[in-house]
Amino acid sequence: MLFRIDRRSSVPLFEQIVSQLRLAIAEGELRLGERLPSAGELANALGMNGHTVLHAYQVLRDEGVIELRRGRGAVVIREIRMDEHDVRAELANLAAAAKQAGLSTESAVELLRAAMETEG
Amino acid sequence: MNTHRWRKRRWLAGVVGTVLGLLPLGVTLWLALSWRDRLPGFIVSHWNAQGVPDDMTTLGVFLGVLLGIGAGCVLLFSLLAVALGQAAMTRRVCAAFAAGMGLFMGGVVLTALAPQLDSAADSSMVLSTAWMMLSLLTAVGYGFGAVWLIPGDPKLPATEPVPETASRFDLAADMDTVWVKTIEGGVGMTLGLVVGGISVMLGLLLGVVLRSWHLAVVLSGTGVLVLLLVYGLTQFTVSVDDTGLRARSKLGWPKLAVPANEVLEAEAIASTSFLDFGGYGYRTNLKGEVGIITRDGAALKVRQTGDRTVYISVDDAARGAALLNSYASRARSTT
Repeated sequence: MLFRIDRRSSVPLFEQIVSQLRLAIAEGELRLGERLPSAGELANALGMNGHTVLHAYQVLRDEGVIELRRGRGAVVIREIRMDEHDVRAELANLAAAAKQAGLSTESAVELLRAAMETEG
Repeated sequence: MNTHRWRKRRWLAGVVGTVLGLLPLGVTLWLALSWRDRLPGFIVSHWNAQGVPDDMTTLGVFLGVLLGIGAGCVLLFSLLAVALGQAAMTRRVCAAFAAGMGLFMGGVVLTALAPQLDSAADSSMVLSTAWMMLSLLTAVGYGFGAVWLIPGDPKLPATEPVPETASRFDLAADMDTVWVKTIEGGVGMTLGLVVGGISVMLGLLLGVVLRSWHLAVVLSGTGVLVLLLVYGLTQFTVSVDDTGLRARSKLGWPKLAVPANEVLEAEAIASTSFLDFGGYGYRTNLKGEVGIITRDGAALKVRQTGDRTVYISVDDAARGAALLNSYASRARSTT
C-alpha cells in the first residue's frame, strides 16, 4: 500500500500511519486476513523508528482491527465499514470551497482536523 | 556508459569461479595420483543406498569421470558468469557454484579413495556419510567465500530521461511517499514446501525401511535445506521510496536494490511465468535478467542501466512502477 508521511505535520507519525491503514482497510485495499509488513520492515521502508510503527499497530490492535503475531507481523482481522461515498462527496465540496477561499491544502487539512476534533 | 568496467567484472567473476573451482580439483588429482601405488588395481566406485559397494573400476576411469564432471560444472558456471553476469547477484551465484562444485567433487573423490588406501578392493568398505556431508558443507562455505571476492555493481546513473510515456505518480511536496508490499510465497512456496516436506518424510521413511541412515541424513538434510531456501526466497518485503526500489527477504538475505537514479523505466506487466525464469524464487534467466518470482501474473518490471532488468511478482505493481518512475525523474534533476 501507499503511505504518505508528512514529517512537518503536528499530527504524530504513528497517527498518520494509523489513519492511512484504517483508510486502506475501509477502501478494501487491505483485505481481511491480509498480512501487513512487520513493524521493523515498515519502519525501515518509511525511514522511521520501529517503535513508532509498533505504536500504530498497537492502536489498531486495541481497536480489534488487526492481530499482532510474534514473528509473523500483523494480520487484518476486522473490516472497517465506512459510508465512503457520502464522505467523498462532502470532501469534494470542502475542497472546492477551500480553493475558492484561496486556502492552501495544509490550511484546509488543519480546518478539517479542528472540525473533527470539535465533533469529538 | 562504463561498459569496459562492466565487462571486466564479468570476466573477474568467471576467472574467480574457474580458479577457485579448478584448484581443489587439481589438488585432488595430484593427491589421488600420489596414492596410485597404495590403491588396489580396481577400486570401489559406486555404493548402493545402504552405502555398500556395488561397482568397481580403475583409478583412471574413476578420476576421469568424477573430476571431469567437476571441471565441466566449474567451467559451465564460470561461463554463465561471463555470459549472463549483468547483475552482481548472477555473477556471485555463478562464481559460488563454480567454486563449490569444484570443492565438493574433490571431496567426493577423496572420501571414496581414502578408505581404500593400502587395502585390497573390499566389498565390505562402507562409504563415509559423515565425510560426504562434511564435503558438502565445506563446499557451501567455500562457495559463500567466493561470493565475497566478487565486487558488486558499479554506480551507473542514467543519463537519459525517463520516457514521457512512462506512468507517473503525483508526488506531493514536503511529503514522503512510500509504496510497500509484502510478497507471501504463492505457488512457488507451496511447491517448495511440498517438495521439501516430501523429501524430509521420504528420507525418514526410507531410512527406517531400508535401515539406511545415510539415505535418511542426505534426503532429510536436503529437505530441510529446501524448506529454509523456500522460506527465504519466497517471502519478501518490497518498497519504493525516494532512494529507489528495494526488496528484502524476511530472513534479511537475499536483498535487492535498484537506486532511483539508475532506473530507466518501470512498468507493471501482466504476466511473469514459470517459463520465463524456469522456476520460482530469486532467479536469473537466460537473458541475465533477475527476478523474484513467486507466481504467474502481475509483476513489476524495472529496466536499469547496465543492461539490467529486474522482475518482481507483486500485486499493485502499477502504483509501484508509477512512483518509481517519478522518483527516477526527480533523481535526474537532483544529481
